[in-house]
Amino acid sequence: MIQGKGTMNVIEIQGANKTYKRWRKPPEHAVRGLNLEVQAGGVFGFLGPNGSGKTTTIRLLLGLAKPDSGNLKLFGRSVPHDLPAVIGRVGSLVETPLFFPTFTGRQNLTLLAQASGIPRSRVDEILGLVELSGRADDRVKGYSLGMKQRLGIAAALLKRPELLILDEPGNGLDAAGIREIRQLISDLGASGVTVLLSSHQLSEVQQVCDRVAIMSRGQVIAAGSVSELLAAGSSGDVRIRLHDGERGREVLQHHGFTVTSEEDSLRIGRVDDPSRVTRVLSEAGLYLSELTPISTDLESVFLQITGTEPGAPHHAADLVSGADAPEKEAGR
Amino acid sequence: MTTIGRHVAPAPVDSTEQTATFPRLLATELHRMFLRRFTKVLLGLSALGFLVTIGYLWSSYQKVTPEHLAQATASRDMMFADQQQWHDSCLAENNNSVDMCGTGPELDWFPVNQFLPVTPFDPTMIADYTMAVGVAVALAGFVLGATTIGAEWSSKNIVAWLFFEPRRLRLMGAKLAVLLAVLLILAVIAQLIWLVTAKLLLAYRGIGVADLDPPIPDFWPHALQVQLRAALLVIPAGLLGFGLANMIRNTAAAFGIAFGYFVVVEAVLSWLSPGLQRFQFTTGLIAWVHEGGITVSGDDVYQPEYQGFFPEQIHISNAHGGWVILGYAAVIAAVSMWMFRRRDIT
Repeated sequence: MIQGKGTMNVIEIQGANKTYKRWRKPPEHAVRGLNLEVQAGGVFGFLGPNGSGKTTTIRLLLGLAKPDSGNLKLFGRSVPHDLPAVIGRVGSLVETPLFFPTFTGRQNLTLLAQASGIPRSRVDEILGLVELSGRADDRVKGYSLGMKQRLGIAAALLKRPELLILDEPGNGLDAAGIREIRQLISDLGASGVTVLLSSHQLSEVQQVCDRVAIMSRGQVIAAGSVSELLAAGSSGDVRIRLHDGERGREVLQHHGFTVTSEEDSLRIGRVDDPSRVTRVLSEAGLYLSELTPISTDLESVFLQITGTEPGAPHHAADLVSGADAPEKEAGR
Repeated sequence: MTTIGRHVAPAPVDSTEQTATFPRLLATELHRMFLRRFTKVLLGLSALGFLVTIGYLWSSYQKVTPEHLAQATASRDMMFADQQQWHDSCLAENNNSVDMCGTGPELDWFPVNQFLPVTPFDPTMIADYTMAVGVAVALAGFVLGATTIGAEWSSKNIVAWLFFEPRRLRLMGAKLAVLLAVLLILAVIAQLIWLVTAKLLLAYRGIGVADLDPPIPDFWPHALQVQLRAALLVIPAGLLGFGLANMIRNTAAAFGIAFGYFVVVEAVLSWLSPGLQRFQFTTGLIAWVHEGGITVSGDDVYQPEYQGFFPEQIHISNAHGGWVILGYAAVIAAVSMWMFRRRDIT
């Protein structure tokens, strides 16, 4: 079972399947046997290439689509059956925000607030929070994509949710907007809101998420903390610099290391114990001026796991636990 | 906690206080309906069209003075006397043969208003105009019904609503209830305005009901009955527009399908099997608006008195027509709701 951190499961999905029948085309298996648990608190990144099933999973959780089989729970209540009992605790933004284009931003939010008995003062408060107060009385059809996105986030926050589900919240935002949203998401996580952040902007995810799950072809194929994923995705290569590089390479190769010469350094492949490199060289009278582990980033791990990078493993479980290796993740 | 964190921290209040109750949904939907620019434009255009029509009627008819009435009564009496005289002489010349001369003229055959030297707004026109107002409001109701839900689908705002009220039938039920209530109120208001206008037209550009000769018994109760029938037409119209657009999730396609079915498919069906007309929407609609219903020719049946096959004469009453159109509209609206409840929203 894939788990996030915390004490109580905010989201639980067990064996969920969803297939879309298509006219004169083979059915599309959007979600297959999906297992996922997200515990309360923090920011949970939900990653995957286009068509991997992220949005379908979110739609299943929010009752927009019905699973063919499997159990889904929000705050311990079965979805979609008990969704009305918990929807007041969930804020969501799925893909593009959906508002009446001829209404103003304020009118759109006011209608949603009115339906839920949320005071109007909350609308003004939240418009200020997403910095739309100045344009609140303009029609939404005149908004930029980024402004619509901020209005969508405002709608998601109206209810002061305990769980916030954001599907690609950075869509259409410029660099400054993305930074603001990132800060907002971080603050939300810190304030006790559990955030499920679905995104393909991996650098953003890496900066704000505590834990991530990676989906591919309808299944979670890897999950864990960001640091665990980075560690698991790391190649183990190190880069060294020393005065006599050519001799160093010969010595290391003699001791079984895979060494590649670079411009002014050597790259040593799959080093389990860097101290062994130091010891071998010093025994040969060679001394290092630099030894640096070659780090990886979430994007590289993601591409490697989802098989979109050359040389990627056939199965993501090679890297980190996934749906097929539930015992590895339990208790993380 | 940061400033942002204070603004977005989970609600300290009981979350059940902030749920979408049915009364809240009704109030919100009512608010939304009158926020819509389309609603305002439709109401404005309807008011403009009404004023233009009233202006035309006002300028087309003239007030009937007591002198006009006296002159018309005298003309009518003269013609009646001439007819009576002709009939009496006919009987005298033909041995009182009714076959040759027919029955004598009756005063009812010569209404005074037909002899007026001016053209007044006649009380007998009120029923037709009443039904015209009813049909116009029903057409507006169809359009408003279709666009109300069509706009939800085209903007996909329906998804945003589902994040606040996931009980789909409840959500859609609130929208439909508000639509029908608003349409019915608008239809009643339109009829009240028309009633006042008609009375003003009769008073200043027409002939009073009391001045009719021969008099029409129970004129106003009958006029109110027609008004009720006209106003109620908006219910199936609104249901139909809402149901079709909700089913197809597109306003324009709903109009196209409605036009295609009612104009083409039903015409073909009635040609293939004329007996089906009693169950067809268009026939039911005509029967509802037409005073006393309509009679249509059905399938050929053997008629012993004529010893041959002749079309069956089917009378479709107002009530029958009303139930047929309401049945169509209710089924389409119910199917659209059922589909909305079951379908995945993508």
